[in-house]
Amino acid sequence: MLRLVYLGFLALVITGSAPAADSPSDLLAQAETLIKADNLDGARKLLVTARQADPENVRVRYQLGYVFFRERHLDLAKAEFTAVVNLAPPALYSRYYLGRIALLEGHPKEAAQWLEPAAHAESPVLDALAQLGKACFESGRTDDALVALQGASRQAPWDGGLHYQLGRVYQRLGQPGLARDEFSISERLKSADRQAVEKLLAFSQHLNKGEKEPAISIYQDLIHNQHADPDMLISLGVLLANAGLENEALEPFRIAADHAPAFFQAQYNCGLTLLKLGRTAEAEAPLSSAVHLQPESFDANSALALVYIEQGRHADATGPLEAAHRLRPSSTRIAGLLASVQLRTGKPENALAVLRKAMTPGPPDSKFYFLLIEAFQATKNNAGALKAAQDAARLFPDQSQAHLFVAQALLRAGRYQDARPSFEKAVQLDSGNIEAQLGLAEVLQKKGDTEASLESYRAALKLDPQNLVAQIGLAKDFALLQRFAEARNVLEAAIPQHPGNSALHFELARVYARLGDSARAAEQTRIFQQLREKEPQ
Amino acid sequence: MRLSAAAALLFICGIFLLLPLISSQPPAHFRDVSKEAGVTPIIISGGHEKNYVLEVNGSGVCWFDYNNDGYMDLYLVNGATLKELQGKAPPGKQRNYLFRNNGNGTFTDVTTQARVPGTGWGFGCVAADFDNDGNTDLLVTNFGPNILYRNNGDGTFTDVTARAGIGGGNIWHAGAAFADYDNDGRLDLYVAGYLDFDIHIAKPGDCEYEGVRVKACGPRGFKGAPDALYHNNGDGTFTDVTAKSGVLDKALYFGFAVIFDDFDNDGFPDIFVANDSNPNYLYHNKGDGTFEDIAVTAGVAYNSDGKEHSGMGAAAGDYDNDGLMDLFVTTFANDNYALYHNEGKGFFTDVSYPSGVGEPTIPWLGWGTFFFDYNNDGYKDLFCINGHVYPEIDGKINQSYRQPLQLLENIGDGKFREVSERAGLTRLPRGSGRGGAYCDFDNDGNVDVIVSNIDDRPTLLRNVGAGSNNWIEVSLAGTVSNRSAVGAKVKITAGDLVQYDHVRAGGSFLSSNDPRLHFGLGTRKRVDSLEIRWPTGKVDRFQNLEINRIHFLRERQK
Repeated sequence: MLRLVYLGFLALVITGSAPAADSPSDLLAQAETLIKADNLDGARKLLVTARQADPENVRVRYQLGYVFFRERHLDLAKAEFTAVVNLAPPALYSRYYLGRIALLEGHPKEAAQWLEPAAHAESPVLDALAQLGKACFESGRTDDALVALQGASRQAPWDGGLHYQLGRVYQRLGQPGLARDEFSISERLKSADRQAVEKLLAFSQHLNKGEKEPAISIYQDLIHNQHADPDMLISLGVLLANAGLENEALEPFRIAADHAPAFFQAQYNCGLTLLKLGRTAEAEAPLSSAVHLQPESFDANSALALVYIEQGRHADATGPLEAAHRLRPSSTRIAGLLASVQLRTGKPENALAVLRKAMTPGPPDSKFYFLLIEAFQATKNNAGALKAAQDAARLFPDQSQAHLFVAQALLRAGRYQDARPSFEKAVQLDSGNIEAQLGLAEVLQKKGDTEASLESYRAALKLDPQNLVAQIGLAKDFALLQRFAEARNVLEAAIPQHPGNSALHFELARVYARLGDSARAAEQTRIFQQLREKEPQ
Repeated sequence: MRLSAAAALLFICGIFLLLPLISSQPPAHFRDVSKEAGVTPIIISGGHEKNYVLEVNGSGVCWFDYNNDGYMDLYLVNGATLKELQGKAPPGKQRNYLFRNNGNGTFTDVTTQARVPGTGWGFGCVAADFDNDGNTDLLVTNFGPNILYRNNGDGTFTDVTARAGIGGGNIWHAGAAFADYDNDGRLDLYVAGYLDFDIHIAKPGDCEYEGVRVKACGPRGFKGAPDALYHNNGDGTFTDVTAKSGVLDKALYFGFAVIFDDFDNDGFPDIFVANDSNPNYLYHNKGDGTFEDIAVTAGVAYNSDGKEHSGMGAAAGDYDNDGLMDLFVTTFANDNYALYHNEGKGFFTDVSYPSGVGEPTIPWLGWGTFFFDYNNDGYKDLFCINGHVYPEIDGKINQSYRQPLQLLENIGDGKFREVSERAGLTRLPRGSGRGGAYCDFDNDGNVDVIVSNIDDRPTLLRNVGAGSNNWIEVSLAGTVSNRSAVGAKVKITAGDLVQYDHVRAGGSFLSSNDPRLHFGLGTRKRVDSLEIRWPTGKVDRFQNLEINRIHFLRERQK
């Protein structure tokens, strides 16, 4: 007992009597103050000490990395940022700097890998998008560079440097018109009215902070300026559009387009904003002008195509989509849209060619498989459709539609009973998939499992009470079960909903006949035959 | 070494005990015996390159015993060349063929002696004793006037078409069938008209089939040719009663196959016509000399979706042994052949898919077809003769001009399964089959088959293995009823197995089957009773008929 008291006392003396050293967090706080004051040397010393005391302190390691980076001790910086990434992933800021280091060291591919998560984060890290654009450009990924730089430019529309980089990208893409446009914007922004640029910066800050009043004030000031520079108006519109304020963005774009009708950016942004607002008919004119001004613009062609597609004008959409696809063959979205439009305009062979090319690179996309299946079906290539559907079902086993396509392809090949498990799977994955319900009901009926078929048709009718296929199928099942009165009830209820459908009258004629009502049977037969004669053979 | 008596007995008993195990139902199969039988003429249909719809349909075959020797003889209808038809080549180079069955597995071409060469471009045939003289006569349908050959009873025939008045004019005739529709003891005749085609103005077409350019366009785009019903006046003449009897083919559908049968068992034969690319007809015989088309409400005009099939060949038979004759129709490619189950009272249900005949038949284009019991198990199976109409498709799409023959075995519970491979049919060289008919030509109780292949030799398939199952065949002769007993209904009871069949003349595709009725008995060793309901309505009953033989049964006078 006496020994325990002694040891306790000794511990108290030791801890209480030692000189008080700064803790890692204290050191970190002091270093951060020094960094703000640009005293990188002082900050480094403190941070090194802190790291010795607590090598797993993520914040210490990050700040030390930052100091090394600023001092251009790139290897040391890399070690610190790598440590942070390992200690606390995803560590987007550390990745950002690792990307910057890789860029500085002339490793653009590696840089892009580090930067991509930082650039595509919900809140992009610093100018990660611009850096990513640079990395992609330098590593030959020109299409990706374009996308990244366009994103960066939307965040900082006044940044002439970004427009310059965009110009270089367009140059490399062989689109000199667009390149010239970007270079001249870059020049204009660099020589722009400094006051206007400051206003834009302030506007951007107010917008980000949600400070409505001062933002509106600057907005009014900029758009009512008789001599407003179209570049400034476009930058204003881009900031607003970027903040999701498309309605407000439209006004500066419109003014810019009115003031400078030959200014591509004005027409394009005006049309794009109208498209986003769902005013597709109005969007057609400015986007057509934009395409006319810059036929090589992937974005303008894509947007104009969307305008046509939204209006169901698939034939009109073909030209812009083909241009967009030619300008950026790697865009799977455009390839998909083009294929879709080609399918709808009776060019399934063209669609097949586009899809086959588009599907080669990159991870599998179910939409492409589904379009491919559609294209095979349209070209009556049932074997191709079945193969694509089976691939889709293997790659996307949780998608009801994939299994439905397999079943439908088997159905088209006349393999009804082989189709059954796929229909069942499609229904199991999505009981609301009416096509799957109807398909399952049909194969059950064909197998002679009439009661089960009846239930499937009933399930389909729950989803769509006026579904013609389900109504006829249900009536047929009742008739097969000799429940003719119920079949009659179903058909009599369906006819007012689909009065011109011959199959309903055909079934009803047969049901009346089975019920011994020969007069009604004759009448329905007559109607059926009249309707059938009008149908294409 | 000598076996002791006990050991020998044990040895013999052992053999008998083992036999059922060793020989238990070896699979029935068919062997092509055309060459050894001497049935090898080339049956043509225009040129090999099919430029016109006229060239694609091929022709039919008929089994009948023209010389009353107890063996079924074979008549093969032949087409012609376009040059012959156009008058650019002398007619008569092509002819039809009558092969006398020598009773030893071989046949002899007796066409010339019998004087039945046909004329022009032949399509179908049907044989029956229209004048009740005990000798089976022959009708040949043509592209152009039909020919009625009266059997003189001395191995020769006489063309009596002009007197009979059933030439039918210069139109394209297809399937035909005889039956006594008014039960007056004389056989009447129905002839289907196909389409209105004039070789002198026709030009090779240019249409698309599954993305392939083909020339023999049709029948859509052509006008149909009319069907005709002829009433037998009993004096060697017939009267065209088409309009009067209510079977006027007003819509001029493209008629192919015709079957007379009493589908509702009311004692009067009805008429089923399989129409190509049009709804089928089912004319219900009202018993007063008139008919009413009930095909739509009966459920045989269209498929179960209310869409017309391209009806090619047709067969009637009671596949589920319920006493009601069911219908089977072959159709175009990419469509299932249709099995219509007779529900009674004039109603049918399309059971193609639940029965199992739907799926296996989708890829093929069917023509001749019939119900027959190939393995003598007591359930009627289905034979389908297939072949495409467009030679241009070969190598271009997933279909072929030459197609396999199909055998769909009735497994006894209303369902069928394809056994073509097991039956040896898939091992045969493929032809583009058209007409065809069944017949036990060697009287061995196993039903054989003849297939007419377009622009090729026919295929005579001998059924060489129906196993140890028993059978019985009946050859009927009417006395008060028509002599061919067409329309006679037979019910046969062998223990738990009850079967029904009717005597018909005409069916399949442009063809006519063995007029004798054949019943497989499975392992049953006796026929308890056989009941014949003659067209007059009179019923004859027989008991304990010997099995595994053919019985000749004549209508009793009283």
